[in-house]
Amino acid sequence: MTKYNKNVSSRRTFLKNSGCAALGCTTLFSSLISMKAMASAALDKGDTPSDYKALVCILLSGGADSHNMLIPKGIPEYNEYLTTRSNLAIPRSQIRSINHNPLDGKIFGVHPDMPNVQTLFNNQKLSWISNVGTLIEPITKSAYESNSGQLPLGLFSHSDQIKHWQTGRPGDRSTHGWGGRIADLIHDQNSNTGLSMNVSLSGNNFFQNGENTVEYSIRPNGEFGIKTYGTETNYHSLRDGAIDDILNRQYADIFEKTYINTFKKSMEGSVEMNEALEGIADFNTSFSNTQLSDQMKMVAKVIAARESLGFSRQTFFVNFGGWDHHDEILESQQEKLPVLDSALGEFMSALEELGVADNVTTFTISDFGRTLTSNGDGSDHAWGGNAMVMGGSVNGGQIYGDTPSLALGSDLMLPRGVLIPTTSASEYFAELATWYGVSQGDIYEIFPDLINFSSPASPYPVGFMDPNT
Amino acid sequence: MLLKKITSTILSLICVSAGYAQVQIYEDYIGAGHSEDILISTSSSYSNPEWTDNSMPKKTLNGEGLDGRKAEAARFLFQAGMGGTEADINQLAKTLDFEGWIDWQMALPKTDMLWLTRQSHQLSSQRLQALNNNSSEFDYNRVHFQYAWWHAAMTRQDILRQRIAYALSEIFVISAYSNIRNDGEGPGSYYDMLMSNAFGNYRELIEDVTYHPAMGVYLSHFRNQKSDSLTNVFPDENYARELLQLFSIGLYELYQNGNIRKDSDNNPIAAYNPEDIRNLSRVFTGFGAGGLTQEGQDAGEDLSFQIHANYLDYTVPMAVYNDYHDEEEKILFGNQIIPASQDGIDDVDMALDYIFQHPNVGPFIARRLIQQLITSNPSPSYIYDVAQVFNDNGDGIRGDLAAVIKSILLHEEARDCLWYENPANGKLKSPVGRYLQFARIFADRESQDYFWTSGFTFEYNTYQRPLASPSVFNFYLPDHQPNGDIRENGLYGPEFEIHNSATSTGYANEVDDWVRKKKVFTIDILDYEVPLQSEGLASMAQDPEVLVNYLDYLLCHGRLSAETRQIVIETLNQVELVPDFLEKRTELAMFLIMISPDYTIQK
Repeated sequence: MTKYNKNVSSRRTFLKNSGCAALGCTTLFSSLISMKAMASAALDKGDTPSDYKALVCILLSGGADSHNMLIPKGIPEYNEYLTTRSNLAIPRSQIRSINHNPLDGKIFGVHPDMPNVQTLFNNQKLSWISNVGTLIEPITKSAYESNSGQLPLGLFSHSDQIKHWQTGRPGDRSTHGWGGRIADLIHDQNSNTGLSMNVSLSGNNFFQNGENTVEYSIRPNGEFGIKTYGTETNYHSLRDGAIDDILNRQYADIFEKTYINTFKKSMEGSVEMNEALEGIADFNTSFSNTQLSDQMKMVAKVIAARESLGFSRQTFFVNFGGWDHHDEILESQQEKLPVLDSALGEFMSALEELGVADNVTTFTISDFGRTLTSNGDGSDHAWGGNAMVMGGSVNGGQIYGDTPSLALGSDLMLPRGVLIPTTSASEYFAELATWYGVSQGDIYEIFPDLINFSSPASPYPVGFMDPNT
Repeated sequence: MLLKKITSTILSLICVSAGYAQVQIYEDYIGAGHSEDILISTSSSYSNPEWTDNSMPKKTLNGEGLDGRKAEAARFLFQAGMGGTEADINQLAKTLDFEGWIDWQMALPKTDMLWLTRQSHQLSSQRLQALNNNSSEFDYNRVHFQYAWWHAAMTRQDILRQRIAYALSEIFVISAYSNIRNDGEGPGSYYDMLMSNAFGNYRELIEDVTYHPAMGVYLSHFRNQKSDSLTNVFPDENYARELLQLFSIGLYELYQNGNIRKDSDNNPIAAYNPEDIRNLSRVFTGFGAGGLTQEGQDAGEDLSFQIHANYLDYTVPMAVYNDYHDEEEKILFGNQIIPASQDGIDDVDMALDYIFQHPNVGPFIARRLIQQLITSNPSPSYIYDVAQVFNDNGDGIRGDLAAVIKSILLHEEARDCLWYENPANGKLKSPVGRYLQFARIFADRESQDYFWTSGFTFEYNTYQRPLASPSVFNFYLPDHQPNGDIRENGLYGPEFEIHNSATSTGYANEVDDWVRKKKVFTIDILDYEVPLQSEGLASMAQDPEVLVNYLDYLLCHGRLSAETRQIVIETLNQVELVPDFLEKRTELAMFLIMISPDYTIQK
């Protein structure tokens, strides 16, 4: 009988006997011991949750021009926007209205190609975070110009910024994301301690990368493992046995070991995933025929299988890329925003079918916002931008953070229409982590710059999550 | 047993008797029993007084083992070309004259990729038309360049040039996932440019990259205008930034050995700042179409800055239109001045000269090319040696890529057996490399006119396809550190960036398809398939050890471990003796070896 046999009892036996083959963990030998130590530490810090919570991170890689997603609609603020954005400005009549209390007297709307976002916002399932960006400490224009403040490393560079948005640490070049750090702390709270609680539909990523955690990458089509593995013929049993032998033997060479570890983890996970997803019914919600919707649908399916898989805490990562619109931005966003918009609507609808809308919080991140000014037909790398957060536990229908003037030369405006952020990404993430159940002490360790922004007394520094959830 | 281990394949036995030599060629292995009373010696110095002639060294087993030479040749060909055919390997095994091979390769005529792309489009359209009367189905841009790429890789002799062009395409990235349009002309012409520059000079390479329309569209300096403060329009910084960060200098100042310079606080020193990028972006203003497509001409358009990408001729270098070019002074790196009132092309020339002279370029390019071809963690002295060749090829010339490539491939760190003992040596073969190596050896070339694949399924399973990376950061970055031992030891493994739970099994599924379905390339819509040649393999499978030895030198360059070897042979021996058991054994052996790290890790 082969190790990765789909037979249930052999799987359980295997996992019980697997000892050091801890899935999602990076060292063969010490992980079990260190996991046990961490588990007892984590348990000291909080209760083992009996409820389910999931964080779904959607990365819009490339630096999405979010100033054309959440757009001033009231006349004076629109005119400022129009002057600054010149040929990139969306015509006022096309901006979709959203119901919200004026902020500093300003009214906003959303891009014409975001009808689902409009509805979700008006139904209080989605909120915006305005002018959020990577910050080590609050920065003023004069501090920036005199180079006297601590600035995020590699400001305006894709590779650095995209990492900071996943690590929450713009002051260093750490490659451990905050989702990975949280998983390091709490994954033992799940009854499934084998499979990684961090599931990615987009391969390796920093967000889910922890010291003892890596993401479990899956494909949206629901195929796991080697396709013909487990076929019941003599030939396949023979072959499967050989595959097992190759995967299970010890390797001294670090490249060989690294190659095999990932492969092995994948095979082990595939058995569980196949079994767990077998029983999941199709959604009534129909998903669009786009890669992003496929990915979100798979996220929803895995969430549907959470009990059979044995998870009370999970994170998901999806990268919807291609937003680096130095050129043809209006046309490009017209193509991409409907994809994003539909996927968000469909996902929320599927979660409602499952009855877990309150348990899942989806949030967007991106390398940076883009320059408010045009370079001809596109915009360039900038800093502060707008993000969305969606879920039943979100205080929906609001715009959080500050809404500074978009006029060139204004207080927070650097040359080329680069906005200095007024909410730091760490505050944004800290609030999500609080909702997720991470203790305040741990949060301040995960986000060391947080202390520069919010006092220890406010676990909800931005205010978008309902503290009663 | 010993005899079988010495050799396993084609062999010439020389029978010497009664004063004359008679040559009989057998195609199996020693010990197969064709002749009796033959004494096989493993030393070329053996002689017998009863012989009238002595055995000639090159026609006896001389203890080195023919397999050893073949493995060495196979290893070199993988480094230099992502693999050779069996005939290439056997040929090179005779002399192991790697320098001679490189010289020969560098003198070969260059494959014309644009022509091949156009031909692939034409032929595949005709084929589709013949099948179902409808040739309009292809998205030309995304498919035909791929057909041409694989066809060149499988049929053209200039594999070194192709290998270097491919390596350059993973550094000077353009991608199908972009706004590049127009019939595959873009990537075809761009790749030709990389091929032309593969053995040329780096200075010319960055100039050709800068002016190529495909790069202009990809990094958006095509139709990039000078500032207009009235309308709040400013120059696009994209190309300027990536030229510095990804194509020439990198983020930090480097020592000539590739190590990063640190300041007194032990922080890396930035090689350039945002001011440099802003200045450089002003250099790259005014770039516009250098040529108009036929469609554009037919539409009555005139060549001007106003021509958009839809009428842009991707095969003609961009022009710089001075009216749209920023003519004010620019300063790079603090003190490199580009004076005001120059023509755009002169500004570009000076800027590229300043960048070319930056001391970082040698180690920057050296490290990346070594990572592409040889190993992920070259020692500082390896990088240093190659950077020195970049700085001066021995004749006072800076940027000689041919000299750089030679120094990389012939360096002791690539050639000596030291690599075997250094645990930090090695790299994961990229998925494209694993596929191409296999295809070159095992694709059945008889009666095949074309070798096409679109690569879409392969991409879905492995996250890689030539010139189709998700961003300008390529499929993987030079500084990627996979979790575990590699990261813990401060080492890098770029190719692991696309090796995750989805692609590890995805790759295995690809291998499964190749060996079970016996197809190397297929395109359903064209009813087209390149089969796997496996007859010779099946006969070898009569003795699993023979088959495994054969696959060892071809696929693993002689590194197949005792453990994997044992697993494979034992498994083969257990295959039921059904009528097609030899084929089954062949499938199994190929599958198991190709999914094992003995194959996928390059040493």
